[in-house]
Amino acid sequence: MNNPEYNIPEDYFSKKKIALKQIPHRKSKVINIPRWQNSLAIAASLSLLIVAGIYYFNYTNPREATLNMVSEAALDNFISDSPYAAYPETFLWEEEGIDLSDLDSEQLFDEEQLDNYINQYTHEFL
Amino acid sequence: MVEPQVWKEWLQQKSFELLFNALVDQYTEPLYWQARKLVARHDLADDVLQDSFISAWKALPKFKGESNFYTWLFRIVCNQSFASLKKEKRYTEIEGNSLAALNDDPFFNGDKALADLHKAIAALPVKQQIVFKLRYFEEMPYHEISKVLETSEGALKASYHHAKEKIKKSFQLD
Repeated sequence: MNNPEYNIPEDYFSKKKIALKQIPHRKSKVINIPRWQNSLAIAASLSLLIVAGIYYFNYTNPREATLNMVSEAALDNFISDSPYAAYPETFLWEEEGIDLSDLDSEQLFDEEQLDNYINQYTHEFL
Repeated sequence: MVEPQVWKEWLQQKSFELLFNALVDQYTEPLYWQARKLVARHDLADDVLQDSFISAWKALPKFKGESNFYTWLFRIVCNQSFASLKKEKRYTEIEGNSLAALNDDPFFNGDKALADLHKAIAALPVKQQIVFKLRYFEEMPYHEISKVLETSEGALKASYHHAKEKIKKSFQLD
């Protein structure tokens, strides 16, 4: 093909053909993944595994979370360890002989007691 | 263009390397000139040729032999040229330097008129550039361009008309 306006380097086509015939022997480029990306991939895989595990166990053994599932001993331990255990009203009720199981008891709603309680324990926060 | 029957047999036998080497021997030169007319500069045409044969090697196992090999390769070259011109246009828009590189190309031997024509073509949208070059330089019929670019003949005619008008205008302004 004769194209006087466009020149090409000497022996361009013979050299180019040799280069092009190397294409089938080329190995595909291997891209090195930086280390932090490796860690990210591991973390993502672990998270996926955990999520899949949770899903699997919930699926194979479906249970609704109810208060009955919590063991009473664990609940007692939790309450006694928590700051709520130190709340004074429990002692107050015990001293005054209020039966906590009797929730209809009018004593629980004695206004004078309630005012005293509020005055005594809320001024710390005001 | 009649191609050796044995090429299709190699394709069926999955002798891809044998076939690829035959295609390189037969079509490197005509495909280079196609690319050169589309992208004008030697360095770009060289890249287009290289990328086209890489694409062809990757796609060869999927090629069903419905068209002949040259048509298939020519389409790949057009697509690669299209991509190259797009990239080049983005670059020249950023640099504000339209086709100055053609004047610096040691392998461009055209006169000022041809250089100006290329400059005017380079200002067109990339698809119009391809249509204009295939029609004007290659004198390719619309139905063939339509197959290569997968665009209707009507749209190609409109595209060529717009390109021609814009080029005329740019010469009048100069």
